[in-house]
Amino acid sequence: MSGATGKDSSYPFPLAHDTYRISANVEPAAAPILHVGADHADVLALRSRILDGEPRRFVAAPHAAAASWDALVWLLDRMAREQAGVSLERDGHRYRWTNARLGVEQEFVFGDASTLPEHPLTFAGRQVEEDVVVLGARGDRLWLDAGMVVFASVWSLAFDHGMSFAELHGPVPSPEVFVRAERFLLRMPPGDAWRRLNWGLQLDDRPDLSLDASPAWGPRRRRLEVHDVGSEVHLRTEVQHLVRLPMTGAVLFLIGVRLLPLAAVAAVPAWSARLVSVLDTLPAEVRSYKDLGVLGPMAADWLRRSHE
Amino acid sequence: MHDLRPGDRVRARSPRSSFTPVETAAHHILVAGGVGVTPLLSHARWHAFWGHSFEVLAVGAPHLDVLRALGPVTVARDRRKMADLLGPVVGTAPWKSHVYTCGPPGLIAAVAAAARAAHWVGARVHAEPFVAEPAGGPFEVVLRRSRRRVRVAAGETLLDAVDRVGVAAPRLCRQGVCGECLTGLVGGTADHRDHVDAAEEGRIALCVSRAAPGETLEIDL
Repeated sequence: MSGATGKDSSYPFPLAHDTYRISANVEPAAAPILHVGADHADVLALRSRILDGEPRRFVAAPHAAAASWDALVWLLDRMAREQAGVSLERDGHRYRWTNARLGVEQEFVFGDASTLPEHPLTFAGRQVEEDVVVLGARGDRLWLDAGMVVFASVWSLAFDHGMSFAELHGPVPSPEVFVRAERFLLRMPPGDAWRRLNWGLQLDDRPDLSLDASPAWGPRRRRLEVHDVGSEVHLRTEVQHLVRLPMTGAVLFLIGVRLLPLAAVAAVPAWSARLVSVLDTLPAEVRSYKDLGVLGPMAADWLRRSHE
Repeated sequence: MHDLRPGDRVRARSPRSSFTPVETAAHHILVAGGVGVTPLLSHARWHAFWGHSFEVLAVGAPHLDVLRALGPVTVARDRRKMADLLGPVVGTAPWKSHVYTCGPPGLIAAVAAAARAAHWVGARVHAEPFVAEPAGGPFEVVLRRSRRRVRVAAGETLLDAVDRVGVAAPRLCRQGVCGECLTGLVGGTADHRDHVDAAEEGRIALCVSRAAPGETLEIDL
């Protein structure tokens, strides 16, 4: 899908330095937090299609009810502040939600599941481009309590459900980064929002690289079947937001996927040079973790040649 | 706070709590001693709203009418009666219950002892003291950037001493929990009393930590 390919000029190029090391790299979030691209409707339709076809893309522990409502209200309120044609009116525990762009109008009572057509997280998750994860804070640790994730990058929400923050990051090199990150998140005051960028390369423009769907994308990825590097290989930037939810203290983790073909990276010489430098100097364990053993040098060579 | 008058404007941030209900609990036991009932009123409202299983044990606590409207309340006439009550309540609570105590240190210790006797793990026992632990002895601190030397009195916190001489320092919870007041520890050995591992980062929590006996501290302030 050409959807999340970031045709707008505001592509969040993720590399701030000529070398890359795994780090928490958080910065205070700035509005807008929720992305609305030119292909907004297509992205949302795809999200619903994936969720409806594979219900495992949504999980919620029974003890995540309050945090899920907390996340719902935060997300709807955020949309109402950032987007035109969207409003959230409140009268005590009663809310009226209007999303004119999608033709959604819904009244609901906070905490009363019978007043929404579906779980609060999927109700919200179908109306934002971002994947939504709720990390509950208990015993000085964070736990993956709930989420709707349809665009996972080589992980599975259903598999990770219930894991601690440390367990979630088990496969990542530099575990000490995540020890500090968890402590940072647990110290965040309610309502605070932070942003970080993550990145990778992939040889197609599928935002959904979930392990649940690996039969669809895995074989081609393993064969590294590429005919035209510039149009097929994509830079995948994940715009991640971390929000301390005001009522429950749970951490809301939002992941927005933005794909850009290498040809478009090459069109911005500074980006191209930066990506080449990063790929050339990537430490072995990061290269292996990001599965860039072959794809990395292939992309770097192509970018170098495109500037000859 | 005491200098404020009605009508004054104040800046406020969202409330921040280090004494929160554990959402995985099967049952919540709220133990209130005196004005320690304050945070537990919020707990009781929360549990009543979400339909959680909970009960309140109170001794010398106000606002009993509010609590009784929310859920079951057992009132002990004095502290000894409360001690008699704790064993059976904790001992017969469903598996995965959590207990939350807010009150004087003696009550917190009594609840912890009852929970231990019933073979509860520590992670299911929560407390918020409203009487501060004894502060410890006096010591001196050098504020490196402000070029000041300050004497911290017994019973005074490092944060209060810094405030007293007019040096600006960040703070929020004043309980060594939030990490807001962590400041670089440049010299001296500290008696770290925070809950955020300040020592590991070479920092000190101004609100709760002190100098080790006989030490003078130097901090990056």
